[in-house]
Amino acid sequence: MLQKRLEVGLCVIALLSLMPADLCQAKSKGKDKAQPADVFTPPAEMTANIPTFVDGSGQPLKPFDATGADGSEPNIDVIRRLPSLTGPQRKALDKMLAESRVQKAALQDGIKSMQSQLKNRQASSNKPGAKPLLNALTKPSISFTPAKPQVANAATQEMDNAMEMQQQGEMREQETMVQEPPPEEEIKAKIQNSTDQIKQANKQLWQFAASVLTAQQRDELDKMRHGQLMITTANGSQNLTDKKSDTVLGAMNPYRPEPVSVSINKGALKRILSNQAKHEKTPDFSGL
Amino acid sequence: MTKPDTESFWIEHLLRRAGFGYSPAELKYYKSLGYEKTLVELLEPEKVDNSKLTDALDQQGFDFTRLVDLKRWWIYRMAFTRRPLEEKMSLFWHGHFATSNRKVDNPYFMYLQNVKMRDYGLGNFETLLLSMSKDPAMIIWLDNQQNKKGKPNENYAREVMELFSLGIGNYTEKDVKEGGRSFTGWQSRPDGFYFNAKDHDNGNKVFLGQQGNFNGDDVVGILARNPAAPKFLATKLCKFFVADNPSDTLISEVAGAYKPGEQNIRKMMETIFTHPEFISQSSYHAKIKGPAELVVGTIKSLQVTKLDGELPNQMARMGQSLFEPMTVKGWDGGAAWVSTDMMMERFNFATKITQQKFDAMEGYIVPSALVAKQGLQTPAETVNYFLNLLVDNDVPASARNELTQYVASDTNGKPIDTNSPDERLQDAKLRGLVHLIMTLPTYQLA
Repeated sequence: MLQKRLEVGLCVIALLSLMPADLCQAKSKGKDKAQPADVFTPPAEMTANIPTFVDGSGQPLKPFDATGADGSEPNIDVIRRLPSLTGPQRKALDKMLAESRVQKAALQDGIKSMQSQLKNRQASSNKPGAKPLLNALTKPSISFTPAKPQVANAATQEMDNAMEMQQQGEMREQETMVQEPPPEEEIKAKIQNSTDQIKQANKQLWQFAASVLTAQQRDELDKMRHGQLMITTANGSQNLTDKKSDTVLGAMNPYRPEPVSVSINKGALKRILSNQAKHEKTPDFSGL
Repeated sequence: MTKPDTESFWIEHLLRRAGFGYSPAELKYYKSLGYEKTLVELLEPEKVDNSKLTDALDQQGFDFTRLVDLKRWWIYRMAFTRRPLEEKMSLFWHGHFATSNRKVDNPYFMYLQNVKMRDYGLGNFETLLLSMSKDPAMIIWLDNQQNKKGKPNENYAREVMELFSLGIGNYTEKDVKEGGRSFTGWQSRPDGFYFNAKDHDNGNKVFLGQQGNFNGDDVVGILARNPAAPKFLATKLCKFFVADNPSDTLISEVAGAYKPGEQNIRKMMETIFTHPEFISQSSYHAKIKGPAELVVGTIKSLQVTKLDGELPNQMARMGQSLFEPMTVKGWDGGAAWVSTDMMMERFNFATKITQQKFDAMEGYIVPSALVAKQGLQTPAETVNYFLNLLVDNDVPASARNELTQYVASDTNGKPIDTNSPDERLQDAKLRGLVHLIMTLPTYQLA
């Protein structure tokens, strides 16, 4: 029955399955000039000792950067889960995070708006006889000094207005075309500038988070990232056994139950195995 | 095709069920031990040195505060552990005590829970159940955080009976309420389990016919000693490890190994793996592999050393997102694994792992290297080798012939000139062969 159920798509799948290999073969013909001298020589990877996770190009995945060097926002939630974090520390982190997000939201909206402008403009310029549009970016440069929410909100509002004007641009262009829009490069530079500001804000957040924590807490955080932070459990303190219990008995986690010695009925097992020796399995499917 | 009537055949079966399949080297090792010694080694993981895995894991740079790394960490463990049953039990218990990070929102707590499942997974059931009842992730998952004196939340009390120990029909609504009162004040804090005495109900309770000022420890003890527990657990274990519809005889014998005084999970597993129903045609290739079994088994059999960082997502699309089971009931398994869309994801996985290349020849797998290593000369030998490696040679002659024909022919169906082989064509054919085998019905079966 099970075989039958699985059989249903087999014919189609078989056909589909045949395609990639052959297509792949056909596509690659003449494309890559370099060919291994001996295709049957196992590559080094086959004998590598340590398997590794890789990205789509076969390169090892980079470990997560926990310093913010890549410009990403720190995961404050992880820090908030530190067992020894105090209430005031938590409040300080939350406040800083909230402020930082308000600041970044305005910048992110701005980037989105500018990207939209770019896209629309490129689309328009592709039309025959297209004329330059009034671009919201011809307005004075928007200031992003976002420590205070109301400032950021004002900036957001300004960008919303810009979006609206952009959407209505086609209708108004004849009557309001008073100024040439900035070149694309200028818009791109502004986008880059905003992106840099976001990264900088994240970097500051990382620095702030680190400054809030004590040296001991930073050590705790590091242990947590490595899966080695002990924590209270049903049986007392849980020793994170990834390291210890992987070694042989004796060095094992003391909270792990003693193994029960296994005593298999050898005679019975032998009989069962020999009784089943005449196994014959011929699944009934076809279509391959 | 008639299988060779050897013990080795059942070792392969055992390794698929008690683990995630095997690499050729692992199979050779276990076959040298024989079935009985292999089983003892599987059942006593504490005696197997797994430090090579630890060393390898140390070099991966996993961050246990990130869910994606946690998933990769577990896949890595499943694939390269020397203790296959230990990992398989962890997977079983993860489905049994199904807890999802979607609600817990704390990968580190999920990691801690997983470690406990590994540590207690073959031990005493009461110990395991108690550790889960006090597990911070579980407390968040089933709302015991909100279970307070005078304002009870009965979610955990209900699920600990319905899903974790007894099954529906073996308790009453009154037991749920009284059980809920017993777990009041069991809370989760960033530093782990916390008993909040002021939120605990110290009143008298009547639970499953017993009376007293019970707390959660007492309730767990009563549940683990309840006569319904062995059968409930045995049924779930047999469905996971043996067949979707195990016989009453098997369930009864496995339940008998539990023994109320011992509550011995290891003994139950021993009973399963030495039972005639497990070592039988009715059990052989009778279960559909779950995504973890499919993916990890592929890594092992094809000796994949460059693991696709997207594997966790691929498994999720196949229906099994580790640390994120969809419901409190865990994964249904069985035919639910092969719905139309999930089946297509299995084929997509087969395509990716066989076809994607990083350069001219190298990809996730290098089948030509396997062929060279084995000294295979002819298409028939090649097909035989891969069928044996991937589906235990469990295919009809017609499929074997078609595959041989495929390997022996070029893209126009003409015989390949073996005197002047086109290496690219050969590579494409070998990859195509592995792909075809991975899409066979038998490859979906454990």
